Amino acid sequence: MKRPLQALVGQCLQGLVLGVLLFFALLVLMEMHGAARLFRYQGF
Amino acid sequence: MTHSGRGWENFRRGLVEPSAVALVVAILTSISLFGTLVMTVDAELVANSTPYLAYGPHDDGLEATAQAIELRSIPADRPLLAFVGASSTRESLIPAEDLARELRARTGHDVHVLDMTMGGETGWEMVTLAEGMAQRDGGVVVMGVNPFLFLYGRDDLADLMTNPRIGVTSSTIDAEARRLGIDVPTRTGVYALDNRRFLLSRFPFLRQNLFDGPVDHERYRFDFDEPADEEEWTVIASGIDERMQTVRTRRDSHLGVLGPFIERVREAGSQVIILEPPINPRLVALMGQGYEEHQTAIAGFARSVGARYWRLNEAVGLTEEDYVDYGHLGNAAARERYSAELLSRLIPLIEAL
Repeated sequence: MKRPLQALVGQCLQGLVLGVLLFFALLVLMEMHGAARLFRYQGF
Repeated sequence: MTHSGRGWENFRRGLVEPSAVALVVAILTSISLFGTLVMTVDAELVANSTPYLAYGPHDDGLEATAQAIELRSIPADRPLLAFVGASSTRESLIPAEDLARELRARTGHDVHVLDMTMGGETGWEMVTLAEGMAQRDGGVVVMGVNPFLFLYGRDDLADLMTNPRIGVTSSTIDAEARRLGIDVPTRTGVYALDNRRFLLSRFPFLRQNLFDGPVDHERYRFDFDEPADEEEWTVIASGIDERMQTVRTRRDSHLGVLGPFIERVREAGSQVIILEPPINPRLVALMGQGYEEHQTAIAGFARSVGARYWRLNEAVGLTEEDYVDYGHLGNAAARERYSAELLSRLIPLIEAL
């Protein structure tokens, strides 16, 4: 069945919003698990 | 339902109902945004954004990163003086801009001075930060090397590979880590990916600084710290023999990394100075034979790699009163005396560049 143009626009818009949210969610996850912690040094 | 009403209904359903199209667009959008971020955050952007990435005014790791990035881009025909070392070296130097001004006044040369010292800087970090010296000629690099530099072991390098304090990498240090059986993160040649853990550690501060305003870097100074009391000296004294034994055991391994690096820098056309940073005579006394051994070993090492080894503490006339603790100068006057002596020795080298 032919997909109406309006539905396609709606789906793309949904994808864009979800994509932006997914991007920020991934960044937060990476920050939580991938960030360096403080190195404890002993020299002077 | 009218034609227009049907259109809005189709749009609404497309917007809220799950679909393969929305899923594909979502994945492509997040990949594109991620790719844009990775390609945008390059070394130059990081070097120019330190006031927004800093965790505070004393973020020496970030400042050293910016200087190391700058070092890799300074034109080869401009004379350059670079410092690497830990806090004892940092505390012995007047600010880089004052050193540059003094050099301009006394030599007529517009010397680019980079201070890449930071608290507890390891030999691996020194090599990583000064890596740019091996790709240029016409420079002098001063490396502060005190005995405690050799306290670090394999576990510390493994920790630094996972939790880097600086946002630059070095193939030399990666090779050393692999030699010691340490997992090295994948290197891609893309700055943001290769330094991702360093950059991610700055994200919370980026958010904070964007709201609160940029943070200007200030060199930490021990001048206003409480001087070490007898209790601290007792703790130092009780552990000194064990520490010096560790220094003896690990020294050769560290020199095995510094040596080839110094030779590469010299072959590229720059001079290398190994500097004995200020060290409290009271600690020297506690080290006993160990300190003399250290100096003899470093003098022999410097000769073997063609570097100069400078011990200025006696020439400057530093006394216990000049220190706030075991190894940090605690007043501006002592720092100026030490820097003046260092400059007087550096000037002939700068003039010969």
